[in-house]
Amino acid sequence: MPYSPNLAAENKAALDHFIQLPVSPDMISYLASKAAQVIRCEPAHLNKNLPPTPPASPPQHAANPYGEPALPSLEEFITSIVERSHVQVPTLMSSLIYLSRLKSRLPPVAKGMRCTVHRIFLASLILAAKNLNDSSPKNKHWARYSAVRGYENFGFSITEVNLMEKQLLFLLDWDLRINPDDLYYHLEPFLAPIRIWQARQAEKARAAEREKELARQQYTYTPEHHRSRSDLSAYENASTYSSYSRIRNYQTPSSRAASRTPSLSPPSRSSSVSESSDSPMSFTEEHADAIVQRYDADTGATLVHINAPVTHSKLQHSLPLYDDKATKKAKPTGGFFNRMFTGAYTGRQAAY
Amino acid sequence: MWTARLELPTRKFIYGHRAIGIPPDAVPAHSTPPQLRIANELTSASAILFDPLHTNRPPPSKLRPTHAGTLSIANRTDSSISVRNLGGGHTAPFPPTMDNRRHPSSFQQLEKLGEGTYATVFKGRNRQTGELVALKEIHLDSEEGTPSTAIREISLMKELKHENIVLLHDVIHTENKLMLVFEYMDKDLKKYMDVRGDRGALDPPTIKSFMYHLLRGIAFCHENRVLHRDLKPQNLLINTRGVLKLADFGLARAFGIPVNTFSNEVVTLWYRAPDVLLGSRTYSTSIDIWSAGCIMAEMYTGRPLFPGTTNEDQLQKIFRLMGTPSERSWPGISQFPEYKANFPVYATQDLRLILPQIDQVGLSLLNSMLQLRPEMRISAATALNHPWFNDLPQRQQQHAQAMAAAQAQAQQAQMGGYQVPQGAY
Repeated sequence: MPYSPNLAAENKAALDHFIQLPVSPDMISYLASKAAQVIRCEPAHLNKNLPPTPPASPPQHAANPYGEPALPSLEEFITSIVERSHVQVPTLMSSLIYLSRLKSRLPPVAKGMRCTVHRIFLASLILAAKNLNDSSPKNKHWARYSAVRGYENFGFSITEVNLMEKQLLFLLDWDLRINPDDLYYHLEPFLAPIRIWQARQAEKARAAEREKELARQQYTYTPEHHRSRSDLSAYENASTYSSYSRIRNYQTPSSRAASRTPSLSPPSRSSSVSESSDSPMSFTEEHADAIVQRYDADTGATLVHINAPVTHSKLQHSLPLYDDKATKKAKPTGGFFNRMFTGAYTGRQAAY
Repeated sequence: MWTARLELPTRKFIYGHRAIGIPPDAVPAHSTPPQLRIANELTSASAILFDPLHTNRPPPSKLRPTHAGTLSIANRTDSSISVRNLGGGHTAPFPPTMDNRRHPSSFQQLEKLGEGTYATVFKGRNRQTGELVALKEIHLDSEEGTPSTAIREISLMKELKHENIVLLHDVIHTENKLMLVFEYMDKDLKKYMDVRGDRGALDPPTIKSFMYHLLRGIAFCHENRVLHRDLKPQNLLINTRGVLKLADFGLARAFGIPVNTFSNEVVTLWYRAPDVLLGSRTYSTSIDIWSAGCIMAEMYTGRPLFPGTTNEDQLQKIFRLMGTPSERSWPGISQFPEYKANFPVYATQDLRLILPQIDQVGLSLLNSMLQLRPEMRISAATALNHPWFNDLPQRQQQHAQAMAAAQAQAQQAQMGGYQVPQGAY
């Protein structure tokens, strides 16, 4: 991501939003994947003294042939703990920092036992809760929360919980400080979409502000100003889209009359057309700022094409074909980007 | 069963590894905890680390420097390096490879110094060096696990290395207790006032010096994004050289990250800021400044400034002296959870009435620390530059050093052919 001087401020705003969110399955699976990377664990029933056996057949919930209790998957384990303990996003996701700190302190060859990662995760969560909150559950409560429905023989005793906590403190050398940068770094996969969304909200607010300003000063403005500004919210769906353009068409002649510059010259239109025909595939990969610009430019261009044929009788006659094409092209393009952006984002937002 | 383990930390360590599920041999030499690494650097490394009888790890090569913090060499005294001297002199009968924790018996426990809410503090002596230390023993409750107070105190104090903050030498974590080894301090400020003061009141030069130390300690905490949250005379320690240091970070915590929750059950009542008493949970560094102001007044009189009995009584005692705030003098005050529209209305009193000994300049500093509105309270860094401290010998010394350095620089510049305008310094 390109350097942005505002990144710290953007991250802060995104983090403030993120910590208000409820725990999502997305967060849990991310935590599980990060926890699993801390240390390699032996497969559940690897015993060198016995001949190899075929993998356990489903249902997995049954105890395996070696008498070891069935082990819930990390995601099942984390989900169950989140449900039982009602842990909130800030605490839950801060444990990512301890997981990564532990990983960096363990040698790459380190190997864990069967449920080492379950223990590491629980210990990290306990330390995050104790460090971040002025009141937090006692270890006896955490021991109770470690039980998972459907895995009757699984769960940690209070003695085990105390020991895993002590051991993690020892391995982390009591280094539990969390800085804003730690949070920005480890939560980046979640903060990035929020930053983009917030940038877009800010841009919308600015556009609305500009539009208000313009509505006030409408008659003194040149058509160029007029064309480049738009109330983006009017383009969220097709019906307001067309009604909006009707209103605009109705109003424009008077402002045109007052204009000092030649309006709607073909070059400006052709440049916006070429812009809107860029590959939409690159859209999602762009930086937040770029997206906002593109989004703005795109809708701005759309507006030009709508206004053009009706408002300027001369042009309507001289370039009927061109305008026709542009109007057709612009309409779905604007719609496409709107769909792409809002659609993609609401999808992601719903996932939180 | 427990005691047997206590005497054999070796076994305990193996057990500890099981707790988290990492087999002991999966952790090779370079990942051994820093405590052990320190010991290696200062003793014979291979003798401790490598014993083919008990380990299959390769012989250690170059030992790595320790993690910066409590256990860094520069800040470390010999008190914590007694790895092989477990049990006070008898040689350890168990494999040294596993032994990477110091043992409580490295210290001779002397008299009890005090008892806090969650810990007992003893005077101790390092059996090897004879050095005096303070041993803070925290009993581990099996239901709670390691107390969050201890977790924060250790993780914060590991990083807070400053002349005016008590130094944490070491942490010894055993089966049923946690022992923090601190530098030894002669007495706390409360006791100092009782012993040295005139009915508790100290002389102005001492007060000025202590306030300077106190504010320096607070400023350092705040720079490092730590709130102390429990400043009071009992938690300020004085050594034999008259240096005051902040201690007891049991209620302290980091601030500046949004991912945490705050309680307003902080700070001993008498030193608790009005915004906290009003139920604020968004307080920040200014709560430590309020406490410092209360302590300053107490040093002048020998009596606590606001000895309230309950939350309400505490607020009333504050308002009686500082005046009852209103929405006009403190916009937004009516939004606090504990705000009552029917607070008794008092006019602001002149602090000099109860502190006749204080000079005019000192009074202005005290007034800026005892502001009811948290955002109006002076910061520790600004307070350190208050003119009241100008005549402090310590400050003058620092000032002189800075002047000398500037002069030397100027001379060098002149020798290099630069014209330094007169009066630049």
